[in-house]
Amino acid sequence: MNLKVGNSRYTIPITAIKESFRPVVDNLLVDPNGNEMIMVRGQCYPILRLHRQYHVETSITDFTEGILIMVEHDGKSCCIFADELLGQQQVVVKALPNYIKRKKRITGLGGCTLLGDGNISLIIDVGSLITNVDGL
Amino acid sequence: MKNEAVLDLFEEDTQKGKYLTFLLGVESYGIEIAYITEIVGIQPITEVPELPAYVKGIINLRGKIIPVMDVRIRFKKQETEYDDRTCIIVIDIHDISIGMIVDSVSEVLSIPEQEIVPPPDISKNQKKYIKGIGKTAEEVVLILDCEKLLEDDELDLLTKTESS
Repeated sequence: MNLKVGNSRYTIPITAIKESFRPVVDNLLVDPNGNEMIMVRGQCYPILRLHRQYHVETSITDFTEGILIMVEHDGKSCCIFADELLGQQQVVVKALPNYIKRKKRITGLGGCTLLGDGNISLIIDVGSLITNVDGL
Repeated sequence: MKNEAVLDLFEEDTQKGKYLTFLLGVESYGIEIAYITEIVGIQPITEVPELPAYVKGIINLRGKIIPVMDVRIRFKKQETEYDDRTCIIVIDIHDISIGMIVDSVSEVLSIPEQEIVPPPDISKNQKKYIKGIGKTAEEVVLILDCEKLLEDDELDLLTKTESS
């Protein structure tokens, strides 16, 4: 599934996605540490703002304007907040360039892919995102 | 037979002593032509998170994904808007491809070895990226050490954490 945050595009493997929805304000919670959470059908899930995690500039920071994508890995779930969904498509996973790999392991990025319009989309590795991000 | 050997030697040497010069502000820089794969205009850049500021992101160059570095930021110069003179010089060093964003590309110069002098020992930081200073008829060209441009990260990180 491709999604958009600001000018960047990200791809999440469809197998990791449980559902996507637009949140209702009443269901949002914030704990004393500032972690945002959402109540869905009696269960509480942490929210990960992609734009904040990756410092992407976007005009959409309000939960009611964007979309939440619930992902699961190894029994752990969280909701990823993005601007909008771009649709589902099959992609070829390409490795990030060697220079970048040598420089740093980027939290939660598994690689990248070329979209039909020539744009590059970054592929999110849900497992490493869930385990490596604080507050999840 | 003898002639062929001479020819081979000549071919090998055609790239030697030639430098592509480009502008960064008012200074002229040169890189050895052997490193250069190609020069392209500015392209849409996909940002990649969690990287140093000078790594602008990645570009799609005919299906090959290569990282691009803004040389201005790398050299701690003022960042400028990209325009139609802005170029990406794609270089290839030890099988690592990287694009360098520069203000504009000037020309290919032949600078004989005896016209290149080592940089002065003023500051250790500056000497790092400059391999030598080439003298031509009108100007001086700072010759970049491409390999140093890619390495030295640990040092960079250290200074960054110290300052922050």
